[in-house]
Amino acid sequence: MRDGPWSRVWHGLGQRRGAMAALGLLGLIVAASLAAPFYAAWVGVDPFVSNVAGTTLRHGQVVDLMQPNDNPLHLGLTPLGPDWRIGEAYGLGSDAQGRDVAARVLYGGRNSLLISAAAAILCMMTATAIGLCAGYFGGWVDIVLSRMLDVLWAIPVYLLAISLSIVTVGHGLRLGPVTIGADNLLIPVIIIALVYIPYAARPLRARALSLSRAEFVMVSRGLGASHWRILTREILPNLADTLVVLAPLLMALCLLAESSLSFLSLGVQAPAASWGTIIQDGEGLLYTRPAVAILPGLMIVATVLSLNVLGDALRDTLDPKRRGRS
Amino acid sequence: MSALLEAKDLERRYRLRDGRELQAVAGVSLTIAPGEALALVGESGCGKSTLGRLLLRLDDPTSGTLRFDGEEITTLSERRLRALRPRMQMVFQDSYASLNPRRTAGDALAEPLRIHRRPGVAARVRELLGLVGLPEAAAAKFPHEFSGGQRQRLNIARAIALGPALIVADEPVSALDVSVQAQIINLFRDLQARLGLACVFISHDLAVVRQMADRIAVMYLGAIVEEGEGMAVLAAPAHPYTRALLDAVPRADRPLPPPLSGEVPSPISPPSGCRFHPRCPIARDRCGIETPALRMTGTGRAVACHFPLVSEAGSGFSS
Repeated sequence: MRDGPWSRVWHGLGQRRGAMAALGLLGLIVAASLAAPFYAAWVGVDPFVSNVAGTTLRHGQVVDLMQPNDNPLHLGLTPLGPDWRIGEAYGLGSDAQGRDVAARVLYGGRNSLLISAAAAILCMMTATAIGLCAGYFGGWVDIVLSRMLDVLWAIPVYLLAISLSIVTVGHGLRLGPVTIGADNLLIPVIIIALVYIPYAARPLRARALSLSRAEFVMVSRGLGASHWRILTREILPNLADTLVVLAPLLMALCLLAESSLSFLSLGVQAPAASWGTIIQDGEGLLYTRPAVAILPGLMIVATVLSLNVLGDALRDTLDPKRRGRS
Repeated sequence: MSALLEAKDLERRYRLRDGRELQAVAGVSLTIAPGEALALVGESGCGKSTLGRLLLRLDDPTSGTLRFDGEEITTLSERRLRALRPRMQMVFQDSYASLNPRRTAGDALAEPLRIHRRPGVAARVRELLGLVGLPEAAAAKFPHEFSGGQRQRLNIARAIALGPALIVADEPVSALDVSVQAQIINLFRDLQARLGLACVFISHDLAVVRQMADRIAVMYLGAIVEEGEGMAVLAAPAHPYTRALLDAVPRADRPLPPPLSGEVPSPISPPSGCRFHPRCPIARDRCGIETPALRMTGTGRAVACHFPLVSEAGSGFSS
């Protein structure tokens, strides 16, 4: 497949240094997050249990995880600060509950990346089905589906996501015989996928619409192909370009939505971690231990940035009209 | 001989967004005998492509009836129609747009066989490539790797894959170089003779039509204005519009006569009476009032004109 989208993608990305750097950074973040359990076992910490009375070794000395405050009155306690020696227990310090920040950021990355990737995939699958039907069948099917998307899109994305999360955070989600618990990661996945369906479905519908009018589709109908066959064998493969470009951009949006919901305690539920929940943990320590909030924030920025750079590079590669423009 | 395809008073109206109606095909009656080549001639926008799609039920007529092989197919459901599809096929003008860019040539040729669950797909694909003069190695290539002529060969191969009785070819050569045009026309003629195909050849190019057609139907603004045996129509046109079309072909032995005045009227508000009268060089008062019916004049010739250029006897010009 010399001219298939995949070969063009590899060829095009290979020529773009920014895109390759983004891909590398993304790979690094994903690999580190996947390795979270190994890291925790290696340095010997459990990042999911409260450990306020605990101690750890630092430069061979036993130190308390909760240090007396360094204000003049020495009132209250502050968690142990970072000494930036990654690879040792509490190298990036402790949070307010005496848990290893480095291990939690890695575990949090696992959840954040998993939820945003799953939400992006679920969203694209649903949006593809909707876009295909609306674009191909046209008429009433298109009017009904498009108006539903319009209604969904008219509600601010975060408002909708937060409202849905508030409903599900207490009771979980019951879909007929299937019940999903309130702390199940599927809940943020479904909610985030749902709110971004219009964002993904609109360009897919437009592409499916123009493809449906292509002569090869009429030829296929003339050959006696069924609607299903035309949709899956003629039109769907030609949506690959659009989907490849959409995937990283959508995942970046989903990651931001997931972090926001988790920051508001409406996404990933304690004691599980996500970059959003860790920022929330760090909010109260912002003046004394800013690293707790800043580290997961930096991870979000790095991930979203590299996903966006990747998405833009993919669009430039696959859309010849935009080629050469920045 | 019984007709393979019989269209009666076919009409296709499109409703525009502003509520007005566009009459693309205005009551066309046609019969096509098995193995016959009929050319549909007319300017662009005269409705000949729409008619071509209607004939194969790729578009639904607003009114009129259509019989294929004696069977009424005007209101046949899409599902029932699928069983008939192998017997009627279409070839389009744009050879590139007619092929899925993500499918290899071999895959494209195998598709009709797979749809209708025909056995021996691989062997048949090789046979088809041979029939249209493409090498077997072409099967692995993608559409963009072919020239326009080769792509049109592929489209023809796909159209004949299921052994159709009728092919509607919509301007199949007008996007090709003249040298390639001749090859494709020869291929068409060859296949037509070998496979006993009936063929509706839609074209605006009279030179192409001259080589292809047993019969010619001339369309103007959605209606057939003249129909008859190919050579006879071209040698002695009976309708002033056919005359004008023939005059517009540049020839070395005479200066180009003045072209028709005015533009083709809009099919949204066609002129009263004879549709051609605002541009007709021999129009009289009657033409603007009374619509001429398509009626027989002479042998096998039908013309929709109050004052045909060929007399009833079939020869000579009227004053």
